[in-house]
Amino acid sequence: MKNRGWLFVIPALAVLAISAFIPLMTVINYSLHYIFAGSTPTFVGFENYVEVLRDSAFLRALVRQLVFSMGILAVEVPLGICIALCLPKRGPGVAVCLVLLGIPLLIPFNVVGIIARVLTQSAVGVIPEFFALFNYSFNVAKDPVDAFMTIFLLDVWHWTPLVALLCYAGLQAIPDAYYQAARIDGASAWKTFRYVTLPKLRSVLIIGVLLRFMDSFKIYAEPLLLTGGGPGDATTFLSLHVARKAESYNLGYAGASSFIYLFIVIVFSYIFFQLMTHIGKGETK
Amino acid sequence: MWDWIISNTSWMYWTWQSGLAIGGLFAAIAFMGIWDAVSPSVARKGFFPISTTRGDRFFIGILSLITVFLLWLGIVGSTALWVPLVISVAWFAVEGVWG
Repeated sequence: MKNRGWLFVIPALAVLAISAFIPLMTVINYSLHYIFAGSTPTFVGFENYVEVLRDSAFLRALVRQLVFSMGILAVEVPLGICIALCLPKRGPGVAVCLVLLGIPLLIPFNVVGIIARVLTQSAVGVIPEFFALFNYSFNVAKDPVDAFMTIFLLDVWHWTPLVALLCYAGLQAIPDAYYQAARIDGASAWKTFRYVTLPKLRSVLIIGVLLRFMDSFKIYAEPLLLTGGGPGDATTFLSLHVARKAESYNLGYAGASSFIYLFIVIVFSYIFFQLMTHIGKGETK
Repeated sequence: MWDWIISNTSWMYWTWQSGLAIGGLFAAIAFMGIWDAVSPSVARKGFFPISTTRGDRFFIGILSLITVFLLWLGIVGSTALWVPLVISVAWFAVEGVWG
């Protein structure tokens, strides 16, 4: 073997393989059984998959999840880039801005959910009071749109700073020579952004998009604490749906839906990765 | 040793079907690894809109196989599973050679 570095990576890979393999295979094996806690498992082949794929509640949760995740990406990525572009490049303001941006990232998921619940509670919350000024009855417990949009905006507030910080680090790494060349060529601000900044940010944007997409699929604590998945099932995302099935001890169904859930994340992440690594590749060489 | 492994992994509810599937997958990955070490793959452009290596096409093939099975299970049910298997194998061969 020419590259001995692989030898040093093998222990870490072995630990990772075992720690990922055992839970994953347990879930897959569960998904092939009718298995309820306390009962003897029965092998049923793909019956759980058929049940999951024909379950309208699962399909609704899946569509809702995809709408949420795509919406999150459509808002958080451009907003994160804009914030990063507006941040000072040097001086004392840099540290202040970075600390302010980092604060939402330090708040745990469940605390974010509780904050949202306090702010949106119809009797004492600030947000319903604010909307009342415009004669709009804001109520996350009754109105599905209010509940969904609250969780959406909550996620934007919580995680846009991550994209902004990644983009800021990417911007700092772009040599000034590129901008000088663009100025000499008479490029407008938009063209400089389009043909210099954006292609140079590609690698951090790939990380940002993949992280946010995969994380948005894991949203759980916020809808659970804010609305419990309601009203109706308006904020029951995939993770909440799967968890409820596992809580009801239907482990075979939960295993099958978990596998489908994982598979969707892998497929979309792979598509995003390929798109972002190949689009406009010639521009940055 | 084998008995010890069996008794200590019984909680995972292994079946021969899942063992065969995962064993086949690992064997295929190992084979691809050895093949690549012996004869390194070069990315090339086929009918996919991106240039792909052997490993990429293998990965896309696995994803396609699972997609075909899930679509079949959702639309038709768990009968005549040889149909999605034939479709998957045919697609695997097509995209492996011309993809």
